[in-house]
Amino acid sequence: MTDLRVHIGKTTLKNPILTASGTFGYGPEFEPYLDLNRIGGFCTKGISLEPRPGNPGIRIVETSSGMLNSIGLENCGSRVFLDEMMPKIAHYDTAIIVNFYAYTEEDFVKLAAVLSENDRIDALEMNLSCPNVKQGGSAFGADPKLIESLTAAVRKVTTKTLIVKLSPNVADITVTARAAEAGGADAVSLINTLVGTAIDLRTRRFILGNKVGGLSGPAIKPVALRMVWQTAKAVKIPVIGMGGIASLGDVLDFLIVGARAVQVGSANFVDPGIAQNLAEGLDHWLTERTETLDQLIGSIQE
Amino acid sequence: MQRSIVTKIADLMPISNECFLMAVPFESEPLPGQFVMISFGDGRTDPFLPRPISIFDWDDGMLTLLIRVVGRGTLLMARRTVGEPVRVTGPLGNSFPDTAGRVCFIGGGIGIAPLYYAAKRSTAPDKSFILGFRSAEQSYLTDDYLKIATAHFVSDDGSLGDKLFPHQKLDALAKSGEKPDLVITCGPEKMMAAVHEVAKKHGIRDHHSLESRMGCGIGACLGCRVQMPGASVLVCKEGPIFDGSIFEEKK
Repeated sequence: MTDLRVHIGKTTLKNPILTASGTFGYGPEFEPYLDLNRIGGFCTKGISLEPRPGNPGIRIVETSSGMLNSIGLENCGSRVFLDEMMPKIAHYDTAIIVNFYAYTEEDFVKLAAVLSENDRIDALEMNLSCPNVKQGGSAFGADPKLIESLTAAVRKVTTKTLIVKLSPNVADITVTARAAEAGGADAVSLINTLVGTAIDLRTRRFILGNKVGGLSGPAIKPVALRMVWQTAKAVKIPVIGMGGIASLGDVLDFLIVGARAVQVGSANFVDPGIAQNLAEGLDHWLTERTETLDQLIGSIQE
Repeated sequence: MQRSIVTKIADLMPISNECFLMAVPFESEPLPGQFVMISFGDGRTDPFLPRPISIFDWDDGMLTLLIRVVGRGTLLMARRTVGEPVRVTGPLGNSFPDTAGRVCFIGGGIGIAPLYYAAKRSTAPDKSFILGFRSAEQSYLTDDYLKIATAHFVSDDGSLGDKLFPHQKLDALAKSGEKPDLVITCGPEKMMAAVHEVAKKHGIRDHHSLESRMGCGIGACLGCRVQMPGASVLVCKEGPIFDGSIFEEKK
């Protein structure tokens, strides 16, 4: 056994393996397949102030080594989440990270305040970057000034660990990362999905009901790894890396370029037990080499 | 018990120019109407996502799946060989209801897949099938279904059984005094909607197995939500079995 604990803001994770928002439901869906107490934590589906129905039409399409989704941030809303979902997940001995989003700064602040009243929630992950909802977060996620002011506004109403999730659909992700840091974020997580599309050759129509969606899966890993590497050098706060993680090798890659923790995303759809396997695999890997997690993180040779 | 395991292909058998049977050891006994998610299980990332496949049969730890080649993923799966790994997650979803009376299982094309196990497991004293294919040439497993229950075959061109659509056959049976108490359907949505209309006319209880693109099969990705005339449903978690009201325009 190797000590795998990592600190993100006020939160201590028992290991650096988290699951990514939108790929892990609200948590209980995965109970038959893994022991949630063995992973570092999980990020819930993106929660909004009011319930959201999501997008109509086809919502997912497989692509080469990945998938596009245009779910549209469907969720039960903050009230149902706090009253009905939280009691079902509160008992897990793992970090509960609530991903949240809104369409206005006012609602972001209101929602962060409401979620902060719940003592069991360990951290908040602010979603600025989901490209799926037309009037949604893309505008927030692409504008460094907005990111800084929004982060600062949310920072004022919460003492919980605040993670800002960054969009890769920007010219320079280190600029938006620094904006989140300047606004008072405890950590940044990246990357969210890359905007893409797919068409049906026969009908010449877009496959997704929303025309465009977020690309995830192993196909995006090289892009994600590059952005995490650049960001880890650009900010002092912890970087949580994600994008196409599907094996222990992928986890190691992200940690080596400087990620303090990682999130497993669409690989949860393929193997719903993968997060626990990765946590145990990381432990074995380090134990065999008598290397510490601290030695591994950021050990890229440049 | 639901589980996700990598197991090995025990048997792979083509049964028509586009369908094949795949048998894999899988301990968890499914309920009729449930499905599993299948992927390659060998670490490859392309194809990436698992596929939802209905359960054709389960017997003493051996799961048999009836799969139609509809795209690259199923084509690559069809080309595999015995002994190769495959990941199976399941059994998933809800199940078909049973009845103490007369039940008719109605399937169209590959939609016949879950009806074999459903009929086998049903405790109803009177069971029958209405199985529709495009033609005799494109039919499969007809003898297997005949071993389980009376089977009425229908085809688009009349080369197999009656030249009728499945809902027309149900209507004829109901009128001739063989009215079922329950119909269970799986097939094209238009077929199921047409069966629902006939069932409603005759006062027959009806349940239908819906199909949708799925990412995970366990209610996590929310990719399989579809807007039906009667409701918006998350097929993997709330279904795949829904009663006929799903086809009734919501007022």
